Amino acid sequence: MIKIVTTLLFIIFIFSSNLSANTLAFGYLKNETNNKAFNFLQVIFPNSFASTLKSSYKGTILKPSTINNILKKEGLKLKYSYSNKELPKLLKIINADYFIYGSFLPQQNENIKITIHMYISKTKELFTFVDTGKMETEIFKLVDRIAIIFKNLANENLYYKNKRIIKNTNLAFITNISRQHLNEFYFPFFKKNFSISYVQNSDLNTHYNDIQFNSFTQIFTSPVGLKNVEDEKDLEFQYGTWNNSKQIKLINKTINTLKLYYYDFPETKNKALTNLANAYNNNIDYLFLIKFNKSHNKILLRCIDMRSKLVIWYQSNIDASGKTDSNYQNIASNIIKQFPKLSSKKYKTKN
Amino acid sequence: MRKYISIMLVISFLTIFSCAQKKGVKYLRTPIPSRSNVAIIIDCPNNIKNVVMTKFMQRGFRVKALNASDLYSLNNVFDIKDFKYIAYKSSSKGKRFGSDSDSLLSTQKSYDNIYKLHVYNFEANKAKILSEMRSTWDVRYLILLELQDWEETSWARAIDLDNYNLMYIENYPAKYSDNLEDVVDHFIKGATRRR
Repeated sequence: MIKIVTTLLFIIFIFSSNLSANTLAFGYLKNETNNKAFNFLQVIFPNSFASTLKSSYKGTILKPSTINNILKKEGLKLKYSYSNKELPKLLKIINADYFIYGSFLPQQNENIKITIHMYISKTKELFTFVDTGKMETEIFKLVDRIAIIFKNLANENLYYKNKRIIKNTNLAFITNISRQHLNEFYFPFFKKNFSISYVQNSDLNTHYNDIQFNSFTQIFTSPVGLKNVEDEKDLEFQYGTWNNSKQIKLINKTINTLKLYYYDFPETKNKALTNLANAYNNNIDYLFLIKFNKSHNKILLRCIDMRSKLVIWYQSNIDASGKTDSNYQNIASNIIKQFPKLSSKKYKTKN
Repeated sequence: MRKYISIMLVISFLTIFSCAQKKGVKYLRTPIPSRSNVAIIIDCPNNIKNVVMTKFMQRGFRVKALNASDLYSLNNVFDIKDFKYIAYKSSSKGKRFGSDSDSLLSTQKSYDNIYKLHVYNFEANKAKILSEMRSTWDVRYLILLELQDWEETSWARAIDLDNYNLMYIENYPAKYSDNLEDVVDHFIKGATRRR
């Protein structure tokens, strides 16, 4: 009887572990120059990423040639670039969870800049990041580094960190917790000699509730960040002679609102961040946006470097495992542990 | 049987003890000198507010009349929660400019973006107000307090308005024998000297 139960449990375990394995598909990296001599890299790069990941990634990896074979059956062909609107349909056809594509641009001093987009099928989100390396001498290091970033991104923790948090710097937190819980959360940072700015701390209670705070799940500071692929849907404003002046005024007002808060939002937000930095006498080094889940035992973290105004750290599901009986202190300690790490940790570079 | 009863007694004792014994936290960067100018923010009835202010004045602090000139409680102040309604009212929701799904999505995204901007601007505005508090009211330290009953955690936080940083935090689980004055005294001692 015990043998049967054990066998059944083993089968369920194997089956469930297979279910959780994701499919990572690689498209082309488009040559952004007019120099055709670089065209070979359009396929070499994705194939190299796929080969580097083959031994360590648990799920299935699809190379451009495999994707092309699948698409051929549908009378289609893998393209060198995709609009955001086309991505959901593509992933449905190739049956993948993640699709990686992008572009490269050789630069001066033999450097090459690689822009990567990772489309996440489950959430319909697009994560974008940029990496640069030496064309000849460091190309394999660059490929390995980016492959490690893919591995960290292609799971539910969506881990991306491109800069270390420097010791003894000034941190600011905006969270959905308050009162004594905030004190407990701050305590480990103080113990490690970080200064904490009074952002959010002059309030007795937080003004930020859980639902509204979800807005911070997606933040994008060009060229790095996470956004919805539907973001770039073009809106049509249909109006003509049948509209009276009041309606046209309303339409223009709507267009202006959308321009400010939707299409030109990165620029609008950059001004707001500069305004925030100035208000605190440019005293904040890193701004952390941290959302605690309902049970306050897991967090979603986003971090903006306030000097460059760029998002440098994305991570979901940092948990409260740790030595103390306070979830808040354990989570803070687990964040601090990540400070010296990078999501491309195999090759450490100086900040 | 005796062994079993003894074990059960020990477990019950430990359970009761661990429930009652909440751990406090305390960090003090630099002690607040007595005789400094402070503003105290506390959300409680005015008679309790008076006790708290008196305690600080007795210890030599110059307590500025901020949050002491209000008859209303902080709960009555306009809340950011109402902002969601305002955001939707000014959006294109319900109007047909393009397809419905596009309109709805861009409205939601615009709302999310406005909310993010509001958070950044709200925190920036607060900094400006606190900077005015330093320059106009000559407040050096802003002290926030919340006092709770026995078994609950009272907490305090102090901000140095000169360098925009937190310089004192403390959570204090009040003891059964503590009265209001004891708890306030505890926080004053905590903020003014290292232990």
